[in-house]
Amino acid sequence: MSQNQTETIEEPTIESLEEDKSTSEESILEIGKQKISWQKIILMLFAGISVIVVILIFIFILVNGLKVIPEVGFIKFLFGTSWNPEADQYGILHGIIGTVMVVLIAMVVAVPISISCSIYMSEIAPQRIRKILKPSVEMLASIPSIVYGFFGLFILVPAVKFIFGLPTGENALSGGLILAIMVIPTIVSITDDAIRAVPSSFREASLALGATKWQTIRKVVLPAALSGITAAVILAFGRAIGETMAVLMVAGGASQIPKPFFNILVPVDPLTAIIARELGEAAQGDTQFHALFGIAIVLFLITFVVNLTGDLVIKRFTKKFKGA
Amino acid sequence: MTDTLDENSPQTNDEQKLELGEQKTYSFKILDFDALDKRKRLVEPKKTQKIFFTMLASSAVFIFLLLITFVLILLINGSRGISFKLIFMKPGPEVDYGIRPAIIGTILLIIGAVGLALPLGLAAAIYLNEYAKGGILVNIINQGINNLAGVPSIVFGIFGYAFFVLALGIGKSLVAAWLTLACMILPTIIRTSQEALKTVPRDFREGSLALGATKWQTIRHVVLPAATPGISTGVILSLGRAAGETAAILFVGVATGIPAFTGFLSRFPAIPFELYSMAVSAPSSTRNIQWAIALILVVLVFGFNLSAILIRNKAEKQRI
Repeated sequence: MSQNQTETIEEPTIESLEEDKSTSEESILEIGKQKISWQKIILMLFAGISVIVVILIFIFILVNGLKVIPEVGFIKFLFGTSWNPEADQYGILHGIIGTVMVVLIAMVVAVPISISCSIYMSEIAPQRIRKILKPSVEMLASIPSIVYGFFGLFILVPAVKFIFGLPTGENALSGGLILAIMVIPTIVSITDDAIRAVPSSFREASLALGATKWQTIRKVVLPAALSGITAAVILAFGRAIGETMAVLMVAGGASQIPKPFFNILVPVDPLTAIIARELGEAAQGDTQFHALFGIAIVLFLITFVVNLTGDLVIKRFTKKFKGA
Repeated sequence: MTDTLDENSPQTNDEQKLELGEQKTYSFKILDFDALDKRKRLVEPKKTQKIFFTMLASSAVFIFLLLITFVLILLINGSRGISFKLIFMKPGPEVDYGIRPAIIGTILLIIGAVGLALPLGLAAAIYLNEYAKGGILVNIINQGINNLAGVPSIVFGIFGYAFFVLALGIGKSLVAAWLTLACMILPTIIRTSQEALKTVPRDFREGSLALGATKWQTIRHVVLPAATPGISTGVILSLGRAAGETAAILFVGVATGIPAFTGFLSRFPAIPFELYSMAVSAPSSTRNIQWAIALILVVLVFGFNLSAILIRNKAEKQRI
């Protein structure tokens, strides 16, 4: 290892003597001076392109999507109860309700299980069990959403249909359950990081006062890791909102508001599923096309706010323990 | 029961006193903690601990079993439909279902997408980490990249359709899919590369600069080699993510029932889309074939992830 490094360092030094003799004296002062080299310019250019891509995506979605406001009307678009492209009606309330429903079900199911699992994994489990659990969770995270959708469609949907005796198992409950499985790895791994970031001196102090291990976890470790755990839940929430293929295949896709609105056993149509199903049919430039972009803006904004909040919470959390 | 009640009543008085006069603090608090604990102690703390630990462990077991069940179902159902013909042949007179074109299509797709995103993302990461001097602009850029990483893939899909396919007039094609997927994995590549660059100790840079190397030479011959394991982990994970991605390529050129490669500007097949279109439209008699396709896709993605984990472990060992 160390031999390799000395070799690689030697090589450029000779090169630099041949290449730019005039600047070799100055190069020692490089750190302070930040001389502009062609490499820097190229890197800057590439970094610039990356930034432009980011801006482009934002602007392009905004430009296309904002057209829906004059065409449909802001209130009618966001809170309109009827989505029917043939009748020129573009209200996405049913989509918002659908998204909220599946995401809430997913979080209610996934949050307790995931947090318990990560507490076990980081505080209680012996090393060798942790060594099996952690990669398992990572494996679960890597399975493509289309495969989850496939499982949902042919395993979960029939099961839900059978258990509740429904005419169809494609409903908000199935969508929520499959989403729950998908967000478990996100919550587990971020919570695990948060719990492990709590300094061990906290635990030692509590144990030294005579508290049991569980009392230490419950009264010391968890309160200390709370903001990190919150961030885990927030980021998982953002992921669940943006999930497309699984909910497209499993949630049913009915363009109507469930009656009553908390009935989880009826088909729903989350926002992402609306885009995935209808973009192929929409003609460029017509209202439906713009309405789908409007949905994209809504998704973009929700995930933007959610991720920003999550990041800020995590940043505050890491700052808290930097001194400790 | 009466025992706990007896202990309970004086304690509440103490608590009230504590609230009234806050000057009596420390000794009280210890007493308070102890008695408070006893009051709640209908069961011994050790027993409570046992109950809760069992609950926590069972949720871990649940998640583990979830993965095992998942893999088992996939293996059992998939093995019924999998065959040499399915993987290595294209559909023709002798073979009803062959996904060779889809496999080649997916490989072409991910190589192109990562090939586009890697130079851009790596350069951006190097610039942001090594050259840029911080400040508001860099913070905004970092935050923007961070947020882009959380944007749903369907949003990239709709952007790719409107921008690359329609506005730039590339049409539904392999190139449009490359560009769309490249946009999607770009933030991930920038982020993971930045993380990898950050883990390279400052001493490495200072040592190289002290030997007279220029900044670029330091980056090229010292920093990048040290960060390579981290960067390649990120790249491999991106490959895996691109291979399984469906929503983002749904509208930018993916199609079924066509040969693997008919030109950069024509449509292409891919494994996830093959699975999707068969799942929603093919007759249920082909269900075993569909499971087999799901199995192949998962094996592919697991392969990428496994190699990423191995690289990471090896690098961690070397560092120690």
